[in-house]
Amino acid sequence: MKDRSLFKTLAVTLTVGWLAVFVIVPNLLTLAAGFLTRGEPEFVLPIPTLKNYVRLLDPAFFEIFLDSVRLALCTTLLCLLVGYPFAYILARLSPARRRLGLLLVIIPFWTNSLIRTYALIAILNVNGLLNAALAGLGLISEPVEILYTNTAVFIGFTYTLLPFMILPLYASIEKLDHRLIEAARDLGAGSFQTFFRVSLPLTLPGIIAGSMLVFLPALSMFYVPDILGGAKSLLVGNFIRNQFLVARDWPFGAAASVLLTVIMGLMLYGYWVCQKRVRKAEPA
Amino acid sequence: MEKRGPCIELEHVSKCFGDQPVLRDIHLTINHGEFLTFLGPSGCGKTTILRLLAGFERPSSGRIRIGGADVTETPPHQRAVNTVFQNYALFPHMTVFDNVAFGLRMRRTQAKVIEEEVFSALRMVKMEAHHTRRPGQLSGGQQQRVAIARAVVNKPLVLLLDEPLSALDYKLRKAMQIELKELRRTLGITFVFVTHDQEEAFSMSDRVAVMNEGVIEQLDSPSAIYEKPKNLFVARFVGEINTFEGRVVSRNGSSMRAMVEGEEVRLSLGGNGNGNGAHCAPDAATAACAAISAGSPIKVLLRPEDVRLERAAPGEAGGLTGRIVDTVYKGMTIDLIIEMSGGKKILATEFFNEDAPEALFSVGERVRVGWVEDWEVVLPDEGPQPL
Repeated sequence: MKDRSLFKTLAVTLTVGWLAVFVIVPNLLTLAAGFLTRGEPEFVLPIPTLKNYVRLLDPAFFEIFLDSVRLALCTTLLCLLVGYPFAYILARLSPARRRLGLLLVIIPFWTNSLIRTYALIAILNVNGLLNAALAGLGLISEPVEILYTNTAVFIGFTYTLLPFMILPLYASIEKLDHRLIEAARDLGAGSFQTFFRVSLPLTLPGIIAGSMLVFLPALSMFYVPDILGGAKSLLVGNFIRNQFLVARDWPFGAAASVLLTVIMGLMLYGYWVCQKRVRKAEPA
Repeated sequence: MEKRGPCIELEHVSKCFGDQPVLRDIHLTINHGEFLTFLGPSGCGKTTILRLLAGFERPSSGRIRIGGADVTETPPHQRAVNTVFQNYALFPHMTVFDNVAFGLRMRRTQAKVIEEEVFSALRMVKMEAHHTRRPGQLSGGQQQRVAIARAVVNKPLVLLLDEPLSALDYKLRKAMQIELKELRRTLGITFVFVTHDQEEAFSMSDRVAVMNEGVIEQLDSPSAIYEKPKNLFVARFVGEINTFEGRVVSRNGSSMRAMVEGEEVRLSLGGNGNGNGAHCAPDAATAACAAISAGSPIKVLLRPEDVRLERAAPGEAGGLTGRIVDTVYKGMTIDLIIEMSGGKKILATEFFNEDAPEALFSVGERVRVGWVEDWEVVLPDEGPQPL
């Protein structure tokens, strides 16, 4: 009995300690830095100010933010359009094939995504596989420039984040009670109506979860635009990184971080509310 | 005013899953307004028949006609049938109203008409007060009612019910059985019901089809199935029954003498004389009955409530005798377990006689076992049987 309570105390302390040291403290530091003044040798001077947040109102930053959101939204949409049918087919396969399919979705995670992003260069290059394939199919006569454009970033995001869309979608489609689909058919719904009135609303939690898991990283991931977009595309992630590492303006970078965190937090809250409403609808 | 004649026709329908036959050459007609139940153990193919009628499965061979039209290739959403599913399959993201309105909306019925029809269907199942609830907020019995309303609101030609009461508790099940019967009377549509519960099948149906391993063993009225089972499977599947092995000594028309449990007894092939003629109906069983002759092995079947017991006088010989080894109190009746002199155990059910408590048998007593003449069922011995 005593051992168990000791274990419990230890486990809880470790978890809380870990979260405190590596999550709460850094976030509090960022939050604090956002309200302080930039200093030369020691980066941050303890002089409170709101200047950093005022600077974020700059239309230039707003444009960067809008570009990022647009790209993240497009990525999410493409991942959803590709991921939903994929997850649907996966969930309807025989158990053995399903395991194989899931394995194929997960295998890329075994390689660091940074390395995989570098590997994409070889595909998107002017002399790369994609151009060769397009030329081979007779779709293009001259190689097109894909690498170091927004298209490349878009492809990179979609490639990197697709599994994060597929897995939650698969989980919710697999849970979908097939008898409900039969019930809809029985009541006179064709396959189109069955999908939009029954399957889609009931897999909405998976769609939202997947979209969050794609949209949020797509908003802040900075190495993909760095590697595939060259210096041309500036997104929120790169902007923050640049403030810290290039411009050495920690307070301004911190303020941008906080803004992004708040926006993501609001989205997660929206997701939570939506989940709660859907769950209430499920049978007890 | 009511339609007569065949409503559903199954013509030599077979169904295989892979190389596994599930239904073998089912040939059956269900009439308009009939309440027909498929009764059988799990895996006998009864649910597959329902799924064929609903259109979720296609037969491997044979034709299906509903309301005179061949629907063998018709997809489920174009058939004039509706299903009440085993676990209701209500749409969890819709209110009770939207669930019931689903079918009408699919047919693009006017909103005003939908509202009227939905509320009238909900009134019928006494659920109109709950129309804004979601299925998750309802009890099992309430969900059941909504599922029925959702199906009947479409005014189908046939209502298919797939073990719809199996998830309910005993009392609710009884109440729903009565309600379903009433509903059938008011709607006048054909009900096809699937269950593994013989009591449920008997209490509601006009006809019962007892199924086993993909074939219909017997299709008859509930009383005929209980009192005149065509074979051992049917006899054993519905209710309790005692089985004796025997061998025919001599046969004279429908009466014969046979050795049963080492005693020669008189048996009647007329079987279970409830007044409407011979047990051997004009079909396959006739041939089997006709084959019974001197020397052939037979089974003698006796329902526990048809067993008649008398106290055996000490030293008295002849007739079937046994010793009571246990009594089981059942409230209205008492079950007696009797060990026959040959060692076989049988079951007899006796009603209490309040006026003569001394008439009750007690453990250890020797009894003479008999039955009302003609109430026994004699079948040819088909060899070893499952179950």
